[in-house]
Amino acid sequence: MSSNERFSRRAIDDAIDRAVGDMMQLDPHPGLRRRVLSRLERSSRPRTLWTWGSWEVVSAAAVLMIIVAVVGGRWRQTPVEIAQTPTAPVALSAPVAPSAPVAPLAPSAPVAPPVPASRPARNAMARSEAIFGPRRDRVSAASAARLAAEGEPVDIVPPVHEQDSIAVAPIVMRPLPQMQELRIAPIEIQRLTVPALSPPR
Amino acid sequence: MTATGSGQAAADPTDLDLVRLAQAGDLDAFGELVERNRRAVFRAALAAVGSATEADDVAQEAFVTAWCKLSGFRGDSQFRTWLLSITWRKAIDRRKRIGRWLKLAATPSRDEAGDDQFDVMDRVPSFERRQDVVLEGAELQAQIRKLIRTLPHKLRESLLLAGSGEHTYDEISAMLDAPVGTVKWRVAEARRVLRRKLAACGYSNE
Repeated sequence: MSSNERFSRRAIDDAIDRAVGDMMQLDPHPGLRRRVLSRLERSSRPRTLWTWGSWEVVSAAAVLMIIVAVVGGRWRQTPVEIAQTPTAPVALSAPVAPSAPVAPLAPSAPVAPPVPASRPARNAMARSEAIFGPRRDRVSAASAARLAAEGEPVDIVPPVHEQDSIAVAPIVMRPLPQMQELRIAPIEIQRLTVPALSPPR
Repeated sequence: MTATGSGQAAADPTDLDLVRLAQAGDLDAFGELVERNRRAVFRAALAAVGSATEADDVAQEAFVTAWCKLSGFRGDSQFRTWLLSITWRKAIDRRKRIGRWLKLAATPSRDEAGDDQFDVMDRVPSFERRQDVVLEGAELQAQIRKLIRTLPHKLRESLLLAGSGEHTYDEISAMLDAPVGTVKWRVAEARRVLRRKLAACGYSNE
């Protein structure tokens, strides 16, 4: 072996020192101070939505989704309330005594037409249009008269105005007759006799 | 005397003066602390993560963390030592996360005590030395750097920190959370292991 192949311990130590020095004699990238200070200034500013960290945005979005899910679930579970029109309280008429004579009909007595209870306007459904066109076999008053003139059998219904008018006698309130005293017969208990059963076979 | 002393303090404030100013919210004072310690912080991170880019990131994070924790610094120790401890923890966390530095490193089979505790010799790439090559140049340096990377963590970190030229043994001791004597032993042991490996490669008679 030549002398170049072997190194003294001192030479090896020097080589190790040089190698370590080469590995460690590095400097940070220029502008470290500026980068650090700019980061600190950024962090000290009031934070806006765009400067939030990703985890903060994600957690805020998660909370928002949970709130929406809870509120939406409650909204779906709420039963649909059917709008009921308030009905006027029914005025119960006084009981009519069976023995009370009914007043004779007074045809001349004017009958006040029933006043319809005021109701809130309903949402009228849209009338369906005749999508198949006008019906040809529809019988109308005009066509019935024409058919009768032509000799076709047509059941002609008498007009409504020829019917007798219905008169309703006014309800007359009469005092109730005095009720008689109720008497309840005493209950008689009769002895029950049961015949003896025969033993089973 | 007092005026002169305060004038000198204003002209060349100590680290503690700057820390007090920074604790009061003076970013410029903290910037001066960054400037004074940037190299030591960077090289400490470099010894742990082994990459200049990663070390730069770690140094930046360490300074930001130091600013955030500055109110808790009471001056019981040197600011630089406190800062280097933060840096070291950051660097170790980074190294664990990315795992770049030790891709080529061997895992010791046992602890670092004893002569034959390493099995890294099996991992040293064998090469035939050419008789006509002068080995005092780049080849030996490259071989040593490769062998340094195969050292166990504790030996390598102690050797690199001691050879960085920026850290005292006291600072290394505080960073590694080990007594100064242990740090010195690790440095000597690292050298001895390197010499033995180089001898196995034919570079010396040891």
